Amino acid sequence: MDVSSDYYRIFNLPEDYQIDGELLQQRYREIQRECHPDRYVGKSAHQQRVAVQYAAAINQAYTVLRSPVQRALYLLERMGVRTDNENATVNDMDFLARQIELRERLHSAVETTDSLKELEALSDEVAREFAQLQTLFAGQHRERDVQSATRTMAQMQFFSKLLDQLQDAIDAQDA
Amino acid sequence: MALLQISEPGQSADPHRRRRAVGIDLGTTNSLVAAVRSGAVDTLPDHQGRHLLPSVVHYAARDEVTVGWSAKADAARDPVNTLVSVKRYMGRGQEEVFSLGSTALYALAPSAGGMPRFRTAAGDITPVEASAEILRCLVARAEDALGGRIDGAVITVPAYFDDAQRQATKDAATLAGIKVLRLLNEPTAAAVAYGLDQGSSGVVAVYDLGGGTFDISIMRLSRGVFEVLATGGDSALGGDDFDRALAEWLRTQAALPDALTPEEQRGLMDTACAAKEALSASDSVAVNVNGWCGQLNREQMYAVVDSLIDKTLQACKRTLRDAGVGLEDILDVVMVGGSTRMPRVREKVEGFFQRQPRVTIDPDRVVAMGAALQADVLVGNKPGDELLLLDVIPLSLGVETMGGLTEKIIHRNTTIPVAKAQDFTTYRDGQTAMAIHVVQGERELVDDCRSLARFELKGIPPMVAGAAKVRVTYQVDADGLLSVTAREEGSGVQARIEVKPSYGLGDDEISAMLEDSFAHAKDDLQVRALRERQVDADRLLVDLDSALAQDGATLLSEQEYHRLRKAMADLENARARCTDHRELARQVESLAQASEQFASLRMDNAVRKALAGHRLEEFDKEV
Repeated sequence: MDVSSDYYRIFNLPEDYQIDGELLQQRYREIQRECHPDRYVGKSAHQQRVAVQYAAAINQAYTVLRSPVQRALYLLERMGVRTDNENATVNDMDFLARQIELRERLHSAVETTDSLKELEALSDEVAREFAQLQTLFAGQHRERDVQSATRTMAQMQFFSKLLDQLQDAIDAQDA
Repeated sequence: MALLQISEPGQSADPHRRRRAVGIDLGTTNSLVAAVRSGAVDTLPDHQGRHLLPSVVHYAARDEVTVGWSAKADAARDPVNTLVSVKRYMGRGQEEVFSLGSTALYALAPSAGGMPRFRTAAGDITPVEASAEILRCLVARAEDALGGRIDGAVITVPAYFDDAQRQATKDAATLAGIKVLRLLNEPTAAAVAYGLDQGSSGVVAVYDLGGGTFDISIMRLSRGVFEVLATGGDSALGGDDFDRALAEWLRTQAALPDALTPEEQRGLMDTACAAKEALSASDSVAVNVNGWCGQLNREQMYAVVDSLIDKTLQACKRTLRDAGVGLEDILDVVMVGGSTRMPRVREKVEGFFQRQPRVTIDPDRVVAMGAALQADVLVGNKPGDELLLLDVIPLSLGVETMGGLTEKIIHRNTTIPVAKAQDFTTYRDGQTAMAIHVVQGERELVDDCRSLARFELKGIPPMVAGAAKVRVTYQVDADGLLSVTAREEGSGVQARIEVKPSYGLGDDEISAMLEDSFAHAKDDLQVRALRERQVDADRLLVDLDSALAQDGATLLSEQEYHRLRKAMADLENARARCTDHRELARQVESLAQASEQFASLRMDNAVRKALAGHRLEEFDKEV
């Protein structure tokens, strides 16, 4: 089945990093209405098994396309990039310095009590930068600039993780 | 001579007959059954007009088992032989049962670390068997009310139930002879009952505090679709714990000794529960414990239970975050479960969500009603109905890696059904087997997670370390149940298991229990098994026949079409003459495999059909 391999085709969307989230969600629901195992309860065990496999494949495609980082990874894989390589940013000194700076700011905010405002400001800053990286990636992907796109994706991964950590820290102070 | 038509379970002789489907809420404290009748859903009462069935089973002697109100009345008199709140022990190991408390009431049979067995006058009883008794009782009530055999049931489980607890619930249904249409999460069922999707679309929170479990689900609704974004909770926190905390407080106040007899303990719990319920209506209540008389007021109770309620609100906070929504996004809050009757709970939930929660449907009955609505759709009584429930798994599923660490394969809050694969390799030269330990939970260390199952992939051809590529695939079905396959990609050596939890019942144990119950009913297990396989064969043949009529000409070549027809004729033959249920099962499987590709083609077609109408504009844009 082609369902498991080409995520964009499943939802009949153009293969582009910028994606219409509303449309994706709407089509996801339309497809699940047809494929979900709930539609095959009275059918043979075999038919039910096939429905489970299909619904699972569609959920997987939807999950990947919905996530900014996973979607970027997927597009790179489609261009033949092995994305399990964690060294993509090692030679990028500027980015390394930025990483260290942001980590230190997170660290010192976590160490101090009553730094909720600081954490939130930092989180906003990181979120903005994450959004800019996504726009950058979209352009690089459109131009099939594999090298730049790979670097951007690695930076996105860092920012996405940092956002999670910031949220953890905010929750901890908020509790 | 006219032949009587025999109607098989699940397959009606008259295709236009309304199928009898029910929703069952198998609760910690009380259980209910509901059905849709003449377009309206309601819970079904017993002959005395009572809708609730206390989840209590009294084992007075072998063949002398009572369930419900009379059993509940026996609890204080004969606590050791009266099993209450067994849902707390579903899918749990013997040691865990001790740590869950209240087991001082029961005698546990010695067991080798497996499922707990309560020692009663009727023999050693597992929580699964006790639950099956409750289910049988509910089904009997439904068959009485609906006037015939039940075609299938949707059974609800707490959203936060792990795989072992879900499997135990399904096993109980199997023992009770019920066809499970779906295991449905309780909060999702409640949202369905409220029909919240019919209004404006948006995000809702379902707060479900029952007798023994707490769930919070955040879901996005739009006409007919219930998409769960995240779920959280505690499968061992509920009204029971409020009672226990209050009982402890009373014990201290009344200066009772630490060690109480089971009768005294049960009595104290009942007093605590009654006091708690009385305080919902008045500010203060008189309590009498073993001759000690005192007053308990609301403030005192709050001091005891507030920390438990706060624990639920912490879970709400985490779950909102997991769902990626803020408090301001929440359109509605729904209250479910008997414990949400407590004014204090309502007050605190309202304070947290800053929104008055909905309480218009009886919080005890709402879950069963939602389950009945889904059962009615699943069984096919409402063709064209738009109801679609997209639920998630509550806890991550992983595998043990070197050093006792957990590697997550499927993350929590992933929409089900889901299938994920991960590759592993051998670490020693010439290694021919690989042990796979399946765990569930969020923690890094395997020891901190729940062990679901262990199995071994054997027969890997000897290779140098790191050369083998073992692909482990986890698949979670729409009931939230896991099955695991492991396959060495080079050689094709394969091992597959339906995850039978470490603390669950083996298939052979279930068969033995079934055999036992059939021995009582003077039925023949072999005959029944054969009949079930015949139904499987009929269903597959009917399915394929209509599928071929619909799409055979367009999707298959003439050769493929005839090959499939031939395979169908073979099964029809086997169906007519085969007397061995195992052989017939093999024949069914063989046709299923032969039609695999056709089924896939039809699914592809369904996907295309779902998107029909969008195609042109999209392709225009692309060019």
